[in-house]
Amino acid sequence: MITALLLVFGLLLMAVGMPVAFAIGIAGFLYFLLPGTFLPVGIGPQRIVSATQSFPLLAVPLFIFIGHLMNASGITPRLLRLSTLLAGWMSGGLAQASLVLSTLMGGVSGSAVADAAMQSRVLGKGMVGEGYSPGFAGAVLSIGGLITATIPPSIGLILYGYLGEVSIGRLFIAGIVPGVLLMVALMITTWLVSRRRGYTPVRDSLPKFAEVASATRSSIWALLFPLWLLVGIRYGLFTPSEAGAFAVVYALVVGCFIHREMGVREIIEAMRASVRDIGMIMLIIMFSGIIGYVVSFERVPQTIAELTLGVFSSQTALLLTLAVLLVFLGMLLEATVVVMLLAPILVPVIKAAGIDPVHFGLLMMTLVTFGGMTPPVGISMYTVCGILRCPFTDYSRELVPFAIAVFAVVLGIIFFPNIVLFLPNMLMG
Amino acid sequence: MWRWFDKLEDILAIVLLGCTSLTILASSTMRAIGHPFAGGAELAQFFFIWTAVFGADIMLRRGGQVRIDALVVHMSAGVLRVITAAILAMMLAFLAMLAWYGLPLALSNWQRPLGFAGLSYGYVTLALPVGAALMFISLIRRVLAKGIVHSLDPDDDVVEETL
Repeated sequence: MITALLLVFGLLLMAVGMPVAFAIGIAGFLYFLLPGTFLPVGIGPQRIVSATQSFPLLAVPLFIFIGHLMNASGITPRLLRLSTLLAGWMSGGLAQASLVLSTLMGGVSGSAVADAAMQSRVLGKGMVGEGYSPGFAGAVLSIGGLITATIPPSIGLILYGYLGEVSIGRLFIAGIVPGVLLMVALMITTWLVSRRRGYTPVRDSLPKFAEVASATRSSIWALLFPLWLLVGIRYGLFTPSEAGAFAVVYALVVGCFIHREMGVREIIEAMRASVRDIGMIMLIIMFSGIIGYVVSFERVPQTIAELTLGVFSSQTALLLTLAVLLVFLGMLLEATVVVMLLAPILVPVIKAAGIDPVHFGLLMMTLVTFGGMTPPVGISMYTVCGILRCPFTDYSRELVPFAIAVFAVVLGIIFFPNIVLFLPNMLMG
Repeated sequence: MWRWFDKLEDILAIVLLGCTSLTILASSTMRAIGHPFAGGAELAQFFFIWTAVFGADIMLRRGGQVRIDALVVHMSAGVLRVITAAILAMMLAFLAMLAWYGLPLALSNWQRPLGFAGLSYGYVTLALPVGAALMFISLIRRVLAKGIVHSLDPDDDVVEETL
């Protein structure tokens, strides 16, 4: 009960414009100042410090750093050439190419917002120039980030795995099939919309094999990256955090010696940008350490688990209910916050109901990341619309068909757990 | 004077991120070739918490910490002023308390070794009070420079990225 009041207080602080990290931190810290609490106040700072002292969590700064390095390493234009070849011949060619690019970028970057921002700068003008409405261009560019965030590596899945004590390797492998399904669903939607509106292809003919082979060869270093990452994690050569460290070296070697597009200046710039992102995400993670402690001290997960297990007869009903909850929370809150607050509560609940936490992790991350692309609060939406200068209303209207496509994939994941689970079960036993 | 202070903080944060990456790389390489060394993970986590608090302060100084302004933009100037002042007061009080309670925590951890030559867990814990003090200063500087209402607004019009 006290926990619920504290959470409501935290949400209230967020709603009136307090930075979310502080809102969570203050709500949690208040617990120790309440008259009925017999815990010493010093536990608060202690939990903040210990929230950072985890080896799996080190994967977060490393993969943020890798995303920025890869962007500076000359991988993006090469992958763009390949995507345009592969998908440019379809109706709405540029939009299709952008979705394929999101998928390929997914293998080197784990951030939906980073992908949406990069693509808006690279492709946004071109799309509007092709006669796409700015709202449609914005919607495609922003929703593509969802594919990037689902295909491994994924910063969201690292966080979920760290909080819920779920194997990050399994989560990564489980992300492949849903990521590809999202790409297919979004491409079909784009095709349907483009046909009706007469958005044209950007290429006249199907790509020739030789062209594809040459474009593939030039982007081979980016394409190989997720492959050796997964193989390495699967065979225990390295843990995800260690993989992050090797991947930094990989990005440096590719950028500096193979593509020769990166020097000391670019590396420092990538580090500067990474430090800012890390500072932002980590402040949320550190300050949620307090409320996380309160939540487990007050036995909230156990209470909720007992309540829900009585109410929901089937796993599917439970997952559907949670999915609706996550969509709404994702729309209102920033994704990191939802994961930090809810993963520790919900993972024990769904485990008690007999649901595989890997299955739930993919569902949860897809939905809360999607929430960042929708109004009223969505970082991807703000970013893309800011760069393209398109009004939120047009963007929101054009987002509807894509949202339906995403929900179709999510329902598939809920009703057929094996879509997510067969690959990790097959590869990791 | 502040320009040098900010510059130093930027450089420190970048160096610390480099140290974090290098430490993890060194420790995983040694483990991969069969000669793991003790304390590599702890050392990396020590660099990491300092990277994180400096990064957090840099973001706060630039007004980049994520916040929800969907409701705020519809408020009248007077209401906004009162609410933002209250928010700032709470944030400052929170930071002051973190510094106040964090410092004795760091001192009491001084005897606890980190598993790496000569390093104490106190250096890890110290990051919190130092970070809280830095953010306290940054927040006050922003209020002085931009006024109460705009103290939390970002410097650039492009929102920084998260997940």
